Amino acid sequence: MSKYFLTLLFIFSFSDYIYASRGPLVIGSKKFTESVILGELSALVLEKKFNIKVIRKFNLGGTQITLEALKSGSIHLYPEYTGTGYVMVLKQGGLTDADAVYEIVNKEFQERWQIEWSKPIGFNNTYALAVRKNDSRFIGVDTISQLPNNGKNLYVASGHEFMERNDGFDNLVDAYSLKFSSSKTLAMEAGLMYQAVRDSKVDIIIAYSTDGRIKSFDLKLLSDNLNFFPPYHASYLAKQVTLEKYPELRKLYKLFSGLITESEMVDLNNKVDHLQLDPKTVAWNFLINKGVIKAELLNQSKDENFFAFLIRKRQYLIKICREHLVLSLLALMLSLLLSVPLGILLTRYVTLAKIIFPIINSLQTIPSLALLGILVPIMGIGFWPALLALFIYSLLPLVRNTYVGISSIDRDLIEASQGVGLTDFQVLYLVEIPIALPMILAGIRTAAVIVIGSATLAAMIGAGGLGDPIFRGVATVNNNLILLGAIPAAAMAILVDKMLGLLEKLLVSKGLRLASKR
Amino acid sequence: MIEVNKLCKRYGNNGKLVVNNISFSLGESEIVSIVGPSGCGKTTTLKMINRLIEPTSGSININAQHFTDTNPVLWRRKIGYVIQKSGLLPHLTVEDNITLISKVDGGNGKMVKERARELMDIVNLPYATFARRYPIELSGGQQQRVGIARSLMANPPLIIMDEPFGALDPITKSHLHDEFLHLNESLGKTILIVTHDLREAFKLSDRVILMNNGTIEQIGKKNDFIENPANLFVTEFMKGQLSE
Repeated sequence: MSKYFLTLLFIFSFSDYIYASRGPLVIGSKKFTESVILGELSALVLEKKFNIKVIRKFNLGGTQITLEALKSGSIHLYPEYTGTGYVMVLKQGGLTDADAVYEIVNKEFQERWQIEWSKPIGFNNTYALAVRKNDSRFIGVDTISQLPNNGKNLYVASGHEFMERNDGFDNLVDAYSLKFSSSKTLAMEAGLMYQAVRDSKVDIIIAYSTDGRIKSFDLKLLSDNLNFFPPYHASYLAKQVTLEKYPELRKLYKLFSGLITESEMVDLNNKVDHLQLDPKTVAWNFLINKGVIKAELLNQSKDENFFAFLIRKRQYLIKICREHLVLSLLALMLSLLLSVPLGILLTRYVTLAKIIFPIINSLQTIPSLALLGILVPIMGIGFWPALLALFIYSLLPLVRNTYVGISSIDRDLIEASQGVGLTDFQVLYLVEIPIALPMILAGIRTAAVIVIGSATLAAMIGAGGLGDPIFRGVATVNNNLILLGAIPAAAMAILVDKMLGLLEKLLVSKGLRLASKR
Repeated sequence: MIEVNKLCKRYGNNGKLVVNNISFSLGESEIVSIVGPSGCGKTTTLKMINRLIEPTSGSININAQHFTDTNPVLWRRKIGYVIQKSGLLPHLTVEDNITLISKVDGGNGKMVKERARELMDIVNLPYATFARRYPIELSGGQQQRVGIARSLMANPPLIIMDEPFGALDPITKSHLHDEFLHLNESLGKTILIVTHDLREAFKLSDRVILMNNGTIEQIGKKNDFIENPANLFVTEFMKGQLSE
């Protein structure tokens, strides 16, 4: 009940623009190269061919987050795979025929959520086991069934999502009677596993069959001889209401039907992952070469050093720094407004403290990704759920330090202050708060560092900030992008910490500072 | 000047009476000490007088004013309060500690400052040297002088002191005793002191109240105690304290 109430509240208060007539279209993507390229392709076509204003919300977390965002109206279009819809969302299995799977997902999504699948874009990006071509153990091994000793003693890596799917890891192991041991099986960021196998950190990975790095890292795919994996044909998803309001989207659906072949997609992915080209440039040039849009081809140096990259991206850097700061500081301020009074209140009602602290403690222990995962179905994606998550994370250090700071003041001192004639309220603001101030400020410093660090995760749900280039950099193996987010994030945390340290010197009485040194 | 009548304090409904039906009074400018072993109820009695602890029954009058007639905060501002560990606020300077109450009371800044300067001179802490220092920068004896100056700030007729010299070394203590007596010759305050030290009580006060188990065993001058101890407890207590 409250979930629906919150959803309604969210829709009415924050996302009215979604229902305004013919506002900009919000395009989403998941956080791996191919999804970003497909998102960029659709965005460019809408902008350049149909003259529609577009907002890009790329590099959102996994299927969970993008689909919820689409349902809630936070985004209007994103690329998805038939197999993912079939297995992960609908929790079905068994079919391996591409057309049959497409018919089922399109029918079910329309009935359940009024979401329509575009005709497949063309290529099939299924899961595939990949090994190094030059690994002597795999000479003459071409199918999964041919793996020596059923894969015993091999180190295996896969993306997180694959570990959780119905057609995922456990069933793959069952289907082929594989003997992978759990201690040698690593789940990691999908973008990183290709390097891991190239550098012999692992022996075998669960790759995406269209990933550019299979070619550039000299990997070979083992064929799925038992037809275990369902087809993963890419399509665009949009709600029917959106398609009705924007007939251009139907044209886009038609335009992309069968537009990209498997080898073309591998090539596009390779340009981004291996040649480190910008996804937008890659998408732009592809559309021109295909004759979809008419414009000049873009040329971009691939050997750009970080400094040059920084200069070129300076406006973007300013934008994400601002987003990061606004998000972090607002969360911190709001939390401060609640936490300090709450911490003081709890020193007055110790029984209440025994109830409240376990609640705040357990909120703090929810992993940040899980917390975002919980908030997205309720609040959608973007600024507000990110703000709420950061707000929750900064509560504990602030409430706890206020509480401890005040309750650890010598009782005799409080009594003496009452004894000389201070009212309870005067005791609070003339005695307790000034004496607890160093502790409260220490709490603010801790909270600030936590919030600035965690705010990088906000990019996963489309709230921007310094996490945006980090996730894009990890997904597209682009170190310059990672550094563009990581360095300012670290610098910002250190700077804010130092500034609060300075504030402490200004605000805390010399008498207390001398006392703490003895 | 102050009259305490049939005062009782009981914690909880069926708890022990920590102060059991005690009555005594102090005359104008009289110094009286309450002495007794730990847990005898002497500090509880003192805190009932400035209403940090509310009595279970009984009454307290100061200059014929009944203690329930004003609110506790205003009542306390008319009673100087000095405690063992000085109770100075660590984040305020000596001057700010002394003037805190007068300032929150809305006192005139210039007059308050003048008064602080005067009091610091009285307790032998030259204003120029000590006004801007923090409690942590003072010795125990100096802190206690500030505590006394603070209690005198509003010029209260009555001052109550809880083990005021208890945390000091013997030399400082003896020195402060002499200063204290000298000081009160000119100020003429009515003073009630709680101490566990009978020698100190005899030295500083006109009369002594000896308490045990929440009741008064004897009230009198030094000579009354030595010549006419009321009972065996008084004799034993004096023997224990004075023979060291």
